[in-house]
Amino acid sequence: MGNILEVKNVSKYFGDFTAVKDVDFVVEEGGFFSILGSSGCGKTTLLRMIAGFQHESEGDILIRGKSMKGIPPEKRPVNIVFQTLALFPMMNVYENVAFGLQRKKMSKPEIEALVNEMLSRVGLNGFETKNVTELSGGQRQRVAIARSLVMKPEILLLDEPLGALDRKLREHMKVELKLLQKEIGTTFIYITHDQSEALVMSDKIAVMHQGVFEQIATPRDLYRNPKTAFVAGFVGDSNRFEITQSNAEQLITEGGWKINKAHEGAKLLFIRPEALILNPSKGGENIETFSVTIKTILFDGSNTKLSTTVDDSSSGEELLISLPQNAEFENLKEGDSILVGIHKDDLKSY
Amino acid sequence: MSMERKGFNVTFYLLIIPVLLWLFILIVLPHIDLFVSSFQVEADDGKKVFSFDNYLAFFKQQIYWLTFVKTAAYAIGVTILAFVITFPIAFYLTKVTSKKNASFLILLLLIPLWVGELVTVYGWMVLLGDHGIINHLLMSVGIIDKPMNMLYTNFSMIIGLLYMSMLFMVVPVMSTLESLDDSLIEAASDLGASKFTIFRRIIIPYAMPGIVSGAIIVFMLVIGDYLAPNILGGKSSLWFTEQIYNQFLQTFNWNQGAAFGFLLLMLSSGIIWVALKLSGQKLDKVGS
Amino acid sequence: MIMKKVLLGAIALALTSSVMAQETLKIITWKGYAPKALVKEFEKETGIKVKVTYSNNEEMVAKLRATRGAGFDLAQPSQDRITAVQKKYKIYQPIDYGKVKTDQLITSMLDAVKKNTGVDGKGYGVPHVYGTTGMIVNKKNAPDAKDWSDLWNPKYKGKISYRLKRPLLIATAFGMGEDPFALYGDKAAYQKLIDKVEKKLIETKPLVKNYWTSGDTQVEIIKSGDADVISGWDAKGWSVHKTNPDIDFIAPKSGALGWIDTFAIPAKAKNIEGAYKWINFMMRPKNGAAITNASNYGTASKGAPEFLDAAIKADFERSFTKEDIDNIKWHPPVPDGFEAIEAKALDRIKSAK
Ligand SMILES: Nc1ncnc2c1ncn2[C@@H]1O[C@H](COP(=O)(O)OP(=O)(O)OP(=O)(O)O)[C@@H](O)[C@H]1O
Ligand SMILES: [Mg+2]
Repeated sequence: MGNILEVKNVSKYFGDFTAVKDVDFVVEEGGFFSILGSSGCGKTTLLRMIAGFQHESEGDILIRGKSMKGIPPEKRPVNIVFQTLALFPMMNVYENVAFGLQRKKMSKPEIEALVNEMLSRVGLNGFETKNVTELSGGQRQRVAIARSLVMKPEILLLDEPLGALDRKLREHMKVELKLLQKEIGTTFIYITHDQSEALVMSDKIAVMHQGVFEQIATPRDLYRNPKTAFVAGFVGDSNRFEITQSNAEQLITEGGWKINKAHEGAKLLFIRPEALILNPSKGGENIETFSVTIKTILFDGSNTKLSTTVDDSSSGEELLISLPQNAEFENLKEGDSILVGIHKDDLKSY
Repeated sequence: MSMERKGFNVTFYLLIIPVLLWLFILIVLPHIDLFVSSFQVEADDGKKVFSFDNYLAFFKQQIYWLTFVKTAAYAIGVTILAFVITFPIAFYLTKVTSKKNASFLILLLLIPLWVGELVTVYGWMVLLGDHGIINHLLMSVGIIDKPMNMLYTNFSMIIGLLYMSMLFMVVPVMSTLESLDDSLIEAASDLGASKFTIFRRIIIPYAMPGIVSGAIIVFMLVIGDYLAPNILGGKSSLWFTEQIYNQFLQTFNWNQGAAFGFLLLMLSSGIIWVALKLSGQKLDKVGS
Repeated sequence: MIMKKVLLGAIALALTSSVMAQETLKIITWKGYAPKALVKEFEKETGIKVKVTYSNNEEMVAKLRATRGAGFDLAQPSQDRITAVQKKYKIYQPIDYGKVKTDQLITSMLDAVKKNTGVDGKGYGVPHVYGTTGMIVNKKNAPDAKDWSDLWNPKYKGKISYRLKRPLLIATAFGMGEDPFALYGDKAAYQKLIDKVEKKLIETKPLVKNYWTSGDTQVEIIKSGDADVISGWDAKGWSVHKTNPDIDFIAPKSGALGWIDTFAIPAKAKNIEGAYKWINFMMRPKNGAAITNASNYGTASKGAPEFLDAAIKADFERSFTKEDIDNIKWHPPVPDGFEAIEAKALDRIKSAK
């Protein structure tokens, strides 16, 4: 499959301020592409440039190989689901969804068929004559998506569409959206600041930070092999250590903990809690072992963690370790000293 | 359940009675006397007797009802004009220009309110007269060689009426537009709507409550105005208010004047009611 | 420090209570009839505080009628507007001419006003100021405009203006060679005359530029050049003449309309003594002249001419020959019901095309 969207070295300046800097990526046809970044990093600005509401200061945006320069929003083969949803309050559900089709000068029966099909697809049949102000958050969400999808866009842009929902509903909609995208096969570009949304739904994720794309990768790749310190810190939980010295064999942390990893000039080390192995069986060649003392057990079901201090660290640097909930570790308690191992590849230094 | 209802009712009445009393004293009471006198005529011996004659006179004598019809037609026209002229202004002030510019321009719009109607009416006289500033300018530039007859015409009257009432359309429309989320406009254009469609399908319906309350105020102000028609309006601009004024102050026929006053109130309320029905608006939504 | 505060408080209290206790005189009158300087002088002389409300004939009657003659201590209606109103609404009280220094007044004028404001043998007015309604003409553009009939002379098409009120109906009648005042005793005949006048004014309406509505609009329309031949008040015409010598007041050949504004005391006046004091104060020759010098209106004060400015005399002499003066038509009291006849005619003229 080809690339439906190419964003070529796009930058956007607001006066002196750089909102988007030299962003370059492609999106495959039918893909679910997420842009993940914290608030204010330039996600919406980038999306608005693709939709045509803002003009790139530099670079070019191509859809199916055609430059979008000078093409107004209403003429672009993309549709957008706004951060605020932007449902038309003066219209009911049916009218909202039909609005775009009416602009295409379709016949009434045609419109009716398409709208009804779309409404049943998002599970809203029977709601046609309801006013959009009378709907629940999740229902409004679906109307907004239906309104855009019924236009059969080449690309659907979604700007944090789940942002306004409560956590439960968000979890639910996450899965639903992903399934919907699979089913209809439209290319989605999805903006979020919630890494779990991005990881669950996407084929590809771009991590954005202060206007710059730090890394573009599959969710697994992103999680396993963060390319920059920012990505390592931003995606998933990590233990973070400042490296003060490094030589040909070792990294030495602030607290004097020596780790056998060769990376001269490294400044930071990240270790994921779940990458740590309790009581590793001896002999693994690429396994680094060290002992820690348990400070406290943070019980949280499947997400339970041990808060420990590294014994070798003179300042007692903290290390969080995931604790599998099985009988093996049931009698661990505070104050116990325990041996911990980690695969060398899981020591991420930058 | 019934107990609860009762309790609710008592507090409800406790709260509402002072309000009603207040409204009664301030608004109803002063008009009772007038209302009663509108149903009285003076008999030959000078005694007051009950009669519908004052109201019947309105319908029987062409000059009275025709004047009202004319006044109402002009008021409707001015209201529509006020909307057509001020809606783009309100839109510009709320959605296009910066906040700072907007507040300055709003101050400009307030000027007619500050200086008062009489002064603005005289201002228009100076501008529009045969030897006024506009004619002078146009003639010195050479666009015209004889003064245009603008003052003392329907044109100058409408200008004067518009000028004093415009603000009352701008403000409610602006306050509704202010709450219009820009992304609604963007969403519509994203869905392929032209600028015109966005105006017709999104912006105007959204601003409708403001437009309706603005229109009611402007209509009432214009139909009840006295100065602009009287001074700027020219020799045939008999306004219904002038007939009320004449009944009170020239003929000393207060009974007839009072009847005309109530007719003005009832008929103009009736026109508003019909207009609301026709446009499918509800009064309780207006102004919220 | 505390002493000082107590002292200040005491003074303040004394002041406010003295203000509250102070005698006041409430006058409802025309603009220019109670100038600030004279009010100050009167207050100083008598210790009476004067409160002035500006108005006109119609509003004066309406206000007094609404309160049945209360709220004011002194009013200044025109002499022809008193009897009918008094008979019907009883808003004034008879004048005690013994309390008026009649030797300050022009005798003939006092006698006329006494008669014209009489109800049941009692007089209700004291003359104060008089003037005439005639025409104000731009002599450069309309040198031949001489009479009321020029208000419908096609020669001045589009340059004519007048106030569409009852004096204009009267003036039109005179201009058509009739004598409306002679018909005041015969309602039916008067109705006929007014019908005739109405027809004339509707027929000739296309000649009219606009109807002026107040002293200010009257001045504005002739001064701006929008009109050349208008009905107008002598004092206004003379004041425009000062800035534009082409414009002047003229006494129409068929007779200028004379009016006299009076002092009248409302039925429920509180400060009757103060009202008489004010009347006698205002009619002193010097004070009478002061009003005339400031406003150009004539005064009923007998000794005033001695204090008049030369320019004022010149104005009068320019506009009025001896004949014109003799020909002034003084408004007699308006009979009851006549105003309704006139109002209907006025409405129809105004709404005509
Ligand atoms: N029209 C504008 N003029 C000036 N600065 C702007 C404009 N639009 C956005 N910015 C700035 O650009 C930066 C990026 O904004 P943007 O809306 O793209 O952020 P975002 O990543 O969508 O954030 P959020 O997750 O909070 O929605 C912000 O610092 C914002 O203040
Ligand atoms: Mg955003």
